Amino acid sequence: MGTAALVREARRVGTTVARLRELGAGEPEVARAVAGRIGLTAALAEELAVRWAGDHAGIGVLRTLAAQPATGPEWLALFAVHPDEQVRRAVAAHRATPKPTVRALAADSAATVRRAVAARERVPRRVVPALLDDPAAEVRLAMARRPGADPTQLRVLAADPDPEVRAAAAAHRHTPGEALLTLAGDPDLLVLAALAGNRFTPEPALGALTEAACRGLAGRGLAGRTEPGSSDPGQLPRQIVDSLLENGRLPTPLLELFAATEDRGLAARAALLLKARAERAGTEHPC
Amino acid sequence: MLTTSAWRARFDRLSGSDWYLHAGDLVVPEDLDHDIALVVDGDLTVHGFLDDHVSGAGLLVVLGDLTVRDLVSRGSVHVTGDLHAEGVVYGYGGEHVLEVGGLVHARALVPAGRSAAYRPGEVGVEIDSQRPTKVQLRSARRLFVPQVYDGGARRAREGRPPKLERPSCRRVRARLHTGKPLFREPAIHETL
Repeated sequence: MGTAALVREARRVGTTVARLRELGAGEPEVARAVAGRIGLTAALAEELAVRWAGDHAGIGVLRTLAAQPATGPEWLALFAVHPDEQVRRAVAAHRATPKPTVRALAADSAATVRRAVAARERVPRRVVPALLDDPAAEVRLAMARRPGADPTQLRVLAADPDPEVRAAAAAHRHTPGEALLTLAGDPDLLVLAALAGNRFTPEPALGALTEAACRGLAGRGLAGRTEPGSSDPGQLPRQIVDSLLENGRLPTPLLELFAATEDRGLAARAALLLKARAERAGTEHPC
Repeated sequence: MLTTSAWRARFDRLSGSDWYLHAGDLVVPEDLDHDIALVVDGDLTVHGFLDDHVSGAGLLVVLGDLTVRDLVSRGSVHVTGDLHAEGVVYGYGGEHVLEVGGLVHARALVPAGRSAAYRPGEVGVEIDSQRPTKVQLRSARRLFVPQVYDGGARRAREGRPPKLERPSCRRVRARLHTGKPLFREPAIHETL
């Protein structure tokens, strides 16, 4: 039987555990298919780890085992010092990786591994300062995108030298108001666009953005701002305006500013929003 | 149940769009509520069922193989490689798209609508999306528990088989979300 047929057998729903054990001890490609199986037992995962840990040909098996939910903490701790970066990256992302191992991986030489630590659902408190100050922007960006990032961390990230990191902080619901206010003066359009779309951006920051956007429509505002990564120079200013209009917390006086612009399409859109607000207010019962 | 957006720190945001990218293989250790637009540049393995219409409408592009326990989709799923499902692949809704470049392996394949493009591999039963045959429906009835059919549980109590029709999407989803079996015979992951 060829390798492809054995791989199919290893992935087949009806294959017995005894047969999976045999297949796992055979060719590396077939063993990898066994290692990635849904519902693999911890015992079979361990057998595979024992069989392939010292075999360079089985690097694919180890990468798969390092991401397999059935792999136990002891093996994950061993895989964490493996020379292969992808193995360590998978360990860094694994839920069952022991905390001391995660702490060690936070100082890994590979940025992709440190990023995987930063993107974990739970990051050990002790490694947070190092990750916030990591030399690789992708690691700090992962910290800024964490749903569980706290205001203290986001305050630091809002002052990051990298605009993408600041933009992620500007978009985060946990970023403190004063940090968002500071970001309203950011020289980067990417940051302003993120800020405009954040439902928790304070009114003064929304006001500053609205005025800048209105000036921009008249060809005066947002000048000198930089747009990293944007292929369409007009895209981000428009995105800022769109985000502001879609932001349900944009105060009515600011919406009136848009309604008074020379851009007829925008003015009509703002006027419609104003009308809708007025109708909503009219139908609300005082209580 | 894990929500994909809760893992967004693991992904890169594609410039100027709402799409996210994961470079390399991605392994999800539990059931997945897929609520964002995501490209996986590698294989995606979900150690549970994948539902793309719980918290939000999910869009999924997998540039390698997609392996799941079960897939219930109302959004769009594009897989460049093979799609392996230990249980069911169930598509529903008029806007559902299922495109698989390789083969689809599943115990039961129940695509929906006209936007399904794939080649069946090892499939226990396939119910045609447009005109399911009686043979297909009978095979499905032998495979699925009666409770996935509307009125199936009551008919089973009365000693009658379910009506010859597609399993109910609502019931399939409900059973997956509550961890109840879809099939009469347990899958290998339930016996391992």
